Amino acid sequence: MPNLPSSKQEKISTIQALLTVTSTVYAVAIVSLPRTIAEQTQTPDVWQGLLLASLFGLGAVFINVKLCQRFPGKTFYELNSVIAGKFISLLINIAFMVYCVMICSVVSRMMAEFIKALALERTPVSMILLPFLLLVGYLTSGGLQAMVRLVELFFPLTFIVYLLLIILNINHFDLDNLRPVFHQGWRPIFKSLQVVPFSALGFESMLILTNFMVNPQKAWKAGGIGYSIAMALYVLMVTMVIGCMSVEEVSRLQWPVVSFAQQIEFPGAFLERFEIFFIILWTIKIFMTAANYYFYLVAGISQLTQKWNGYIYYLPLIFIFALSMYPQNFVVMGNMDKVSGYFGMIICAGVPLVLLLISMVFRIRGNPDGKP
Amino acid sequence: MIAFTFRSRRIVSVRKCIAACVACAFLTGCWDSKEIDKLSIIQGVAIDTNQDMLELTYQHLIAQKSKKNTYTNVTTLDNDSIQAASRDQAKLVSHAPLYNFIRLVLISDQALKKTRIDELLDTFTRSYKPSRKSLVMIVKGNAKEALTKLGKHKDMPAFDLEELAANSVLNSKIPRKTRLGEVSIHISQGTDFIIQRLVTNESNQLAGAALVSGTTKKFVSWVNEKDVIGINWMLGSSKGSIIKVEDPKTKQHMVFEVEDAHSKLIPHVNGEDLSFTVRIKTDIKLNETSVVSAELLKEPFIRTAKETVEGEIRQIVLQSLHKLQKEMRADVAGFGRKVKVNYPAYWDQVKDHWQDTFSKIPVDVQVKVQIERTGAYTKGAGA
Repeated sequence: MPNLPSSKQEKISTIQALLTVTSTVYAVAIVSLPRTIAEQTQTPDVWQGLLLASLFGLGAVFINVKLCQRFPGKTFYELNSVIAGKFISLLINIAFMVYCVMICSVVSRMMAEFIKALALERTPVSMILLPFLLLVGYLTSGGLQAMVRLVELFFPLTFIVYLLLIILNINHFDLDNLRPVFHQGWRPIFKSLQVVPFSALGFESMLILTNFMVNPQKAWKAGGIGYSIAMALYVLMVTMVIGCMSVEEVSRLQWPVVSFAQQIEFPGAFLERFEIFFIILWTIKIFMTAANYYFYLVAGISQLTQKWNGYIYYLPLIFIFALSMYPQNFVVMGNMDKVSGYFGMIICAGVPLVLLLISMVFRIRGNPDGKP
Repeated sequence: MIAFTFRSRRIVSVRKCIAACVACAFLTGCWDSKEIDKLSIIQGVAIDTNQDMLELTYQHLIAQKSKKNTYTNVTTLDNDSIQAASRDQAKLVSHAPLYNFIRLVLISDQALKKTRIDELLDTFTRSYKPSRKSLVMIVKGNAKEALTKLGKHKDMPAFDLEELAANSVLNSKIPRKTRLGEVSIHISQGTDFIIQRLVTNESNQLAGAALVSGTTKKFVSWVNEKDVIGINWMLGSSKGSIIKVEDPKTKQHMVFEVEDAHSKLIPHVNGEDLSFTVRIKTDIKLNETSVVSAELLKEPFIRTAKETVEGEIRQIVLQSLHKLQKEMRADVAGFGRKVKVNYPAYWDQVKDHWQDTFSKIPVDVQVKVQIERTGAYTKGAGA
């Protein structure tokens, strides 16, 4: 049992862990991902880079799970002090929390821009963000159990709308848009790897979730499958978007997936504008992602202070709100996204790898019974 | 100090303040509230030119009962850009315009000769409000006229034209409908394409197509109905239309309905030489015949009918192909894409002068027809 005040002695099942990982991964990036990849490749070789990135991500999930399984009953925040010592572990923890703040604010800001462009034109971005963030805080106050329950509740809904989006577009699909494959060799694919990994982030959930599970030995299964589902949805969406609209068009569109949703033709006036469903789905989706990251952040704070109260789960919202209001335009937002992507790569894949290697070399292990 | 404030009794009032702020936050939707009776829902757009200005016409959705055949709820505005003209509407129309339900955009050929199509449609594709599903049509002469003509069923012109455009499934003289999203894709790819052409006299009527060049992105020429049939066969979109042939012996006519049509453009590269095979496969059924001596379910009739139809389709396709290659030099059936997809290295050599290359490639047309049904009678009246 993790020694976290926030955990309230809660355990989550394997399927809950799986769905939480899935909903952490596939999120905001998908809206612009087809463009960012197509811009880099300029050829229809879009899916290979994503597949490579997801293999890399699966490797990271494996590292994270293995690291956590060496220290039963401890989260990432606790176990790195055992390996790296007090001071360095403090730095790592703070870096991880900063990363969570960054992701959380980037994601919330994207959501707000999204809603502003598509639905609420005159509403200020800050007023779209505020209720969203307050709700995130409220959800987090319920602890991990409330969060995974919500994920469990909404996952089927978002999944169905996601698949519907793809299926209803199938009449626009033209295989010629995805050919020729590999006509310029591997160069475009390696080029696309410059942008793809940011959307492959999300494997860090296993750092926190593994030892909250009832059966931590099944963590690799939950993490691996959950991550694969999310990446499969990514690959499917990107391939479909390129297949329906061609590389030339997609590389010109700001949010290709929105245009993709707009071109759905559905008989009958009721579903005339399918993108409405898409907007609702996406807000829920981003809410789940933001809530997950926010929980990881709050878990870290409660670990540092050994407390669990209203100040801990509401006050960090101020930082997130300030940081998400900071970018003036999409350029700054893009840069923030990039920085948090690189940062996340180091914190969530690099650092756990080093920690795992150290703990293997020096044979550091947690006590099997979970007592420190 | 802060801790003291929070711990003191004032915590209750602090909470009240926070609760009040939170309550305000949930009023988010009110910024964008729109009263439905104060909206001017725009259904159709027409773009014309007036000397140097662009002329923009909006059709507003207003219920009107009128015995006349004209629809009067349109506003016409002149300015040098679409957006500027659109905002001039504020001087005339009191209700706030709602662009989310634009069903079609009509462009006059005059406007398209002067201005590039991507310029004209930019504001509609750039904004997320109008859907990429809106139709695009080219009008001969005056586009705003078309928005004033009610349909046969007294529908609003925008509704009527939207349904009219879908009728390409009944008649292969009508090209496939073109949507804003498809225009955008063609513009991105730089390919030539055709758009439905509308003629406005007494009422609105679809007649042939307009050819838009992929390089200049402007109007090139009209495409007549005969060539549209050929293009439809090459694109594999003749499903639902009819084909009329003459019986070679009796010189009487037979009319078949196309139940299913597929086409395949197959490029062959042999060194420096490029050639194409167009393979068309179709299933048809007999809808009407005046051949008296026919045994409809017997092999000889089926065979001759098949061969006649195959010959007919082949001739139509070859004719329109000849015109596309030699006269218009426009690759509207996507030959270039096929080369690009199948022979990317060869495409890199020819893509800069594709128009010339396209006009010279030999094309072989192969047609395969299957007669599936002949209807209620098994014989002609005299047989």
